[in-house]
Amino acid sequence: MLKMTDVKKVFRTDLVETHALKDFNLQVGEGDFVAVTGPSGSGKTTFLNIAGLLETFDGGTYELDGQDVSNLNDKHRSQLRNEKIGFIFQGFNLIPDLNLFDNVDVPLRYRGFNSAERKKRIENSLEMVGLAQRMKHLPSQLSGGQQQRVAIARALAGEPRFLLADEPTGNLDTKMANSVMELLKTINDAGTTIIMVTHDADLAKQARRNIYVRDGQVSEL
Amino acid sequence: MNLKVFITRLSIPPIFRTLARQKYPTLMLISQISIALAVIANGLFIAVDRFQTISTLSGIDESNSFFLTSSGFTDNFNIQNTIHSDLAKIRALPDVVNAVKTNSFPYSDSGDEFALSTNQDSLSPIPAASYKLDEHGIEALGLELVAGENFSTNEVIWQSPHTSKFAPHVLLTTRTAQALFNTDDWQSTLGEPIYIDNNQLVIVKGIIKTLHAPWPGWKHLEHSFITPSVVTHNSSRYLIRVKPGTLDDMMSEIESTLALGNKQRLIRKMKSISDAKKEVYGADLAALTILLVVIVSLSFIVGLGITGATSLKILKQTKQIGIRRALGANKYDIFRYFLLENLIITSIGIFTGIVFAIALNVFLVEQHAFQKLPLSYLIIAALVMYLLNIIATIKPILKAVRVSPITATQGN
Repeated sequence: MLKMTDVKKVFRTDLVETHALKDFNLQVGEGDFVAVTGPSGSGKTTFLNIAGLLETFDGGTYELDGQDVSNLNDKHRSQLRNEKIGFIFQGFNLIPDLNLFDNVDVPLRYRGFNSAERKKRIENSLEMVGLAQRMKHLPSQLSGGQQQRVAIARALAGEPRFLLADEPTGNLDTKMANSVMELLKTINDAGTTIIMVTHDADLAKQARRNIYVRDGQVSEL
Repeated sequence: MNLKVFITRLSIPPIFRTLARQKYPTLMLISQISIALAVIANGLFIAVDRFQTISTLSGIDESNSFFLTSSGFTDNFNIQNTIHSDLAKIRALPDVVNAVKTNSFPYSDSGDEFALSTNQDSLSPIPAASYKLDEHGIEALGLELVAGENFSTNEVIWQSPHTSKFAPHVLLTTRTAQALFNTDDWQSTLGEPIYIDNNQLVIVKGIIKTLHAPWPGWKHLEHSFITPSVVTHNSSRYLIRVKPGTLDDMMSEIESTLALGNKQRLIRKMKSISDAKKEVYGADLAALTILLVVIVSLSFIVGLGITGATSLKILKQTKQIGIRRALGANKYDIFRYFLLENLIITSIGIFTGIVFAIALNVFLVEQHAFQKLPLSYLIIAALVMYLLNIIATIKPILKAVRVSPITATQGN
């Protein structure tokens, strides 16, 4: 379902050339829950950016849902991101001037769903994260944990095949972090493939599969 | 992409809600646009009105004519002989088209106003300036006779400045005839009697196309008439029309010819009609220039303001743009989003600006008897503001388009 073969990513400046990913090989099956750990600068986030089609790569091949995405243009990459991938960011990344309803609505509008369809999906996804009563609130009126739940609702509203989470509990206290983790497990149980980058070994243990990234290469734990 | 999907992707309602939450920056931009529109619409209207006034031709051959004053200063100075002799000498010069002794001319800012009417007891006579010229007047001033005849030599009366009697015939301008007889059929006005100051009866002999009154800015500028007379005053004003391209040479030649030919007078106040016009409209030209500079500067400043505000907004929203890109927006979506947001702001600014412009115009109409602002100026100003907005925002918007989706994961 997600297959990276010998993927390379090099960051270049005038003076330095940094190999963020070196012959990176990974295969993730449908319904998997993969925790990605590794030291800072190991290439975890670069992997996640490439997996989420946020960033291009310099060598190797990447197949997403059986489709080679190596040479797609911006329009097609954006469309694939929108249809197949949901993102959860460490800093929640909600748009501060939009209420919860409009925040969850953002990817659905780019999907082109009609108004009734969007409304149904927004209400269902906010209901699932327990925030349906607060859809007219602004993000600033919510706690960190609640904001991350909204971000999860936004990621799920389009019913993506993949959920990519970058340190989803990094800005939360333990109680909130556990609550978010439970939510992710529920989502995974419902069939969504999750790849989660984390520093937290305890959280990583709760995933079905753990991989370790070091010096731009992956090893199974 | 079908239309419904296109409209959905434009995200119009969320844009309105976002703008409503960003009150102060939005209000600042709307205020800038509306004030600029009000000033530009009214300023342009004033500028065009002034320009039309300045560029309106008086009816005489302005670029090839000049005037001078002959002032006798000795006791035995013979006014009538001098006028006869001077005009004969001037008219004999090969580059002179014709010359005339006149009491006044357009842009001179001095002359006589009389009330004309078609009956002796009229309560609403037509105000008009009088020009006292001999039979050479039409050619000397370069006027166009559209109906009737010029005066003959023996119709011209010579009179002292203290006489108020008029010769029996007059030539009217078309506007004067129109005001008096309410017709455009000039032939029908020929031979008609009119009263000057409700007491002197004269007959219309001809109609000339245009001859402005001597007072620029006068409400009845196009109302004037010519009576065939030469006023014998110690100071005689000659108006001389020369062949094209000879004005400067002829001015100096005629000045010296007259000065040397008669030592009992002074030749003074010689000036071309073009220079007289420039002097009369000097303040208007300066005001017009300043107004245009203000309009252009204001447009430039508003444009810079919009560019600055948009750049700042996009800089502050870089992360948001990255998030939108990560969630599926392509580059066109980002371009359309910011362009539409600016068009919404501009449209609100234009709407309030039109209201403000009309209010400003109503104030000017009521307080300064200004004219009503035509709709076309509002439309032009609105188009200018739209164009200005697009020019001012295109660069920052293209910068927004270049924001990478990876920005969403940076700086967490």
